[in-house]
Amino acid sequence: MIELKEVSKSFQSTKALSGINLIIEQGERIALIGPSGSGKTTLLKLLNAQHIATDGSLKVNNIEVAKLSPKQLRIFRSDIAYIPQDLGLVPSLKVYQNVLLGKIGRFRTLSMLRKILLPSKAELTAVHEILERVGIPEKLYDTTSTLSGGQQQRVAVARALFQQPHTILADEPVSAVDPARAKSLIKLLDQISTENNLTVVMSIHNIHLAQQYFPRVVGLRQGILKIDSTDPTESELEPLFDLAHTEEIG
Amino acid sequence: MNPTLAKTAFGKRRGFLLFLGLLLFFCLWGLDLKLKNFGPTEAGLNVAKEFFSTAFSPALDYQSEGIPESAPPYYKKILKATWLTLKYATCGISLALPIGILMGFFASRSWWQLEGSRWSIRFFIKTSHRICKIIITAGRSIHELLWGILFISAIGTNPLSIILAIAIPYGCTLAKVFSELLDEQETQCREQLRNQGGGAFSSWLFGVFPLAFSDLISYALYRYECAIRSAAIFGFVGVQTIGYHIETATADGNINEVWTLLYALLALILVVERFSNFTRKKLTASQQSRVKSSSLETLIKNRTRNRYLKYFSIAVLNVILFSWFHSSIFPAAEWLNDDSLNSRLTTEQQWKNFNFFIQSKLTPAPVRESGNWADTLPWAKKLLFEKGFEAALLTFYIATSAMIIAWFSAIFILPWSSRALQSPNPFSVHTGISKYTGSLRYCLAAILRLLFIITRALPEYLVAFLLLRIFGTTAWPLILGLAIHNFGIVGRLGGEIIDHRDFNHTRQQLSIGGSRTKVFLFSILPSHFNRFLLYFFYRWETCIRDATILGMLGISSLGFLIDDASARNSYDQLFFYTLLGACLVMIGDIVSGIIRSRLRAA
Ligand SMILES: Nc1ncnc2c1ncn2[C@@H]1O[C@H](COP(=O)(O)OP(=O)(O)OP(=O)(O)O)[C@@H](O)[C@H]1O
Ligand SMILES: [Mg+2]
Repeated sequence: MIELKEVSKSFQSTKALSGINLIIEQGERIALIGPSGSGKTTLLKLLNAQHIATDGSLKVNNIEVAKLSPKQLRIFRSDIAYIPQDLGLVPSLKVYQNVLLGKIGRFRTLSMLRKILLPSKAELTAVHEILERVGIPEKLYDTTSTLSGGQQQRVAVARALFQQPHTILADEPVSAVDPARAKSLIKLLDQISTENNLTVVMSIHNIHLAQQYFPRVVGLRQGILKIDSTDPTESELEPLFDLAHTEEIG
Repeated sequence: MNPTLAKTAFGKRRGFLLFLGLLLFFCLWGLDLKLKNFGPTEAGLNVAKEFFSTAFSPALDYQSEGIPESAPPYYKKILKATWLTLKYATCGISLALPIGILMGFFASRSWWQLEGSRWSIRFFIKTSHRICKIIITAGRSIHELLWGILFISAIGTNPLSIILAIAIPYGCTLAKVFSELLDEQETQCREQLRNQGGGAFSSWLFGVFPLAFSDLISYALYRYECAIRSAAIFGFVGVQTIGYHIETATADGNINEVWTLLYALLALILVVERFSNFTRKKLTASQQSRVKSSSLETLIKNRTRNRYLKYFSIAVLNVILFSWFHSSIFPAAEWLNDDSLNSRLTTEQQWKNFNFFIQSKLTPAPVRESGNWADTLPWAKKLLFEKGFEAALLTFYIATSAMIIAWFSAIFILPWSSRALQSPNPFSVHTGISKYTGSLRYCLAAILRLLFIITRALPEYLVAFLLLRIFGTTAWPLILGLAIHNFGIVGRLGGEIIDHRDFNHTRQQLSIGGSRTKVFLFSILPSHFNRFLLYFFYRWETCIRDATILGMLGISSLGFLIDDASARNSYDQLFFYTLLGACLVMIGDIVSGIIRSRLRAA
């Protein structure tokens, strides 16, 4: 369970988030929407303690994340998958190596090195299975930089799944794939998270996908929580994307 | 006109170029050089004619009369000189590498994760970082040839002196560049791995190191190439490498022999250079599966394996082992031993010599007499103000003017030498050029690139040595020697940029009717101007370092004073001037370091 109480986050002069109250139960699937610059990325980064809130409290499974020591923080993070906007794949490594790196928080450096350099058949099978689920099994041995943008996004999703987390945080993971692919990727995440009771928080620009596939939609505008609804109506959504109300347009 | 408009019309970049031009003239003026004196002397013209006319007839046998019967066949002499050059370079680099890797890691911040860690750990990391940086700067601020002279004076002419003299500055240079390469990499992969719970070291190992890997390997190989040049130059202080034989052959007037040796050196360096190029290509080659199957079995069976790294490591290891132990592994290879150097001293005696050297020979002369260390200051002051300061200034002028000349000429040649720009379809835009002119352009570009490769391969000291006999004893040969070598380097580095980056804007300008020259001026140069400047400063600091020894050829500057002190066996003065040179190099390093980090951030 993730619990935010009056959470604010400022960067020097900009206030990226202010007074956010939110409770996310284990297994919930949430779409995070809002115009560019509204604070979606900032919120996601707070959730796995990449950023620490300037004000308020953030608890994950009743642990105050701001108080974690570096070692505890690593253990905490190894259970949360994070897919950043820029994906964070190592371009010069092979696809299977990038997927294996999903478990970097679980293994010691030497055993990770062994897996990367000399993967066992069982490890390859596990990676291959996940790549099959995201639809690019044939890319197993390809250098990651040779993949298209959409294919790389799928590698990032595969890495997140391989990590076997309890929560997946994803920052616009489907922005570079065609609409059909986007749908199938979200369906896949949907299915896997239901099967394993995973929490999913995903920022997404496409409102229709958000409404269609996510039981709960959270909307931000200028760092303020405007919507938190299981079935947002058009009139609720409209001001969020009304250009007259938006200062920043991306 | 609007005053702000007028200001922007004369931008920083043009201002800087103008400044460089003026600086060049100021340096030449400081060196008391006149442009009208630039050119060969009358006697030098004849030397030049004779020298270049023999270029195509290198000696295949001894040229001098009266070679004793017992002398080894000529080819063996050349082979041995070449081998010794390679051997000292290999042994030196094999010691420098572990130094470079270890200190490079600790001098880099790319693995740091200080937030939230205990203050004692933070203190330890920051202190070791600082100490490493200081050692690195100090170690490389003294030229390898000067380390050589110091070691030879201390422990005698012993192979170990030469190897250490290469290993110390090279280890520090490797460490410096390794740490810079690591720090330059993008950090998002590392951050991602940390976000997944990776520790500081493993996030670095999998998120930064792979990005820098091919750069690290190619830089190490580039250093190996430099070590060969250095080893050759050690001949000028008496080690029997190629430089030694070039010096004696020149003194005896055996020009054909000089050419044989030059070709041998060039061949050695070019082999390493090509090999390094090939290695880089192999290591950066990305791989794609040949089969379109999605079954795991088929994928495993058909995966393309890059075994190059394995073979490469085995080959490198063998070369290193052979260089160190060839005489004990292969007794038949004994004739390859450097007999000039096998000092018969035991380790104990060497150690004694070393202590004696440190404790008494390096002590300033007045202190040796009076026993009072307070006498150091007036002594140092005298040395500094009588000759040292002026020599340091001359050294600076030589280095700076050489670099400015090299940089401007390389940038000027660049568009003509670029593979991407001079191809019949530059950046794959059709130009409608005729086949004949197309291939002519392409040939010209290839020749210019060859020029870059060859000038870069030649050691500046050697070029200056040969030019001295043509230009007479002015500073011009030193400037030209430095400039020619750096011209090649800047040309190669610049070519890498133009040919290996994607230029959408270049393509766009070509597609709306821009010519090659125009797109170079308005698309390539502006978009990579900072990178070109980065190369200028990167080479400028190296130039200062190299200029500290060029004076040993007999032109007044720091090297001249050092050589003079060494000839008089006054090691205290030698050490003083060496340190003065080191100070100059460090100042250059710091200035260039600040400017380069600004340029990178810009
Ligand atoms: N590291 C930072 N330093 C300073 N300001 C920041 C930083 N990160 C975010 N901000 C600011 O916080 C605000 C919210 O940014 P955030 O990246 O969370 O928006 P977003 O909703 O993810 O936008 P987009 O849809 O474009 O990705 C912006 O005004 C941004 O400029
Ligand atoms: Mg964002």
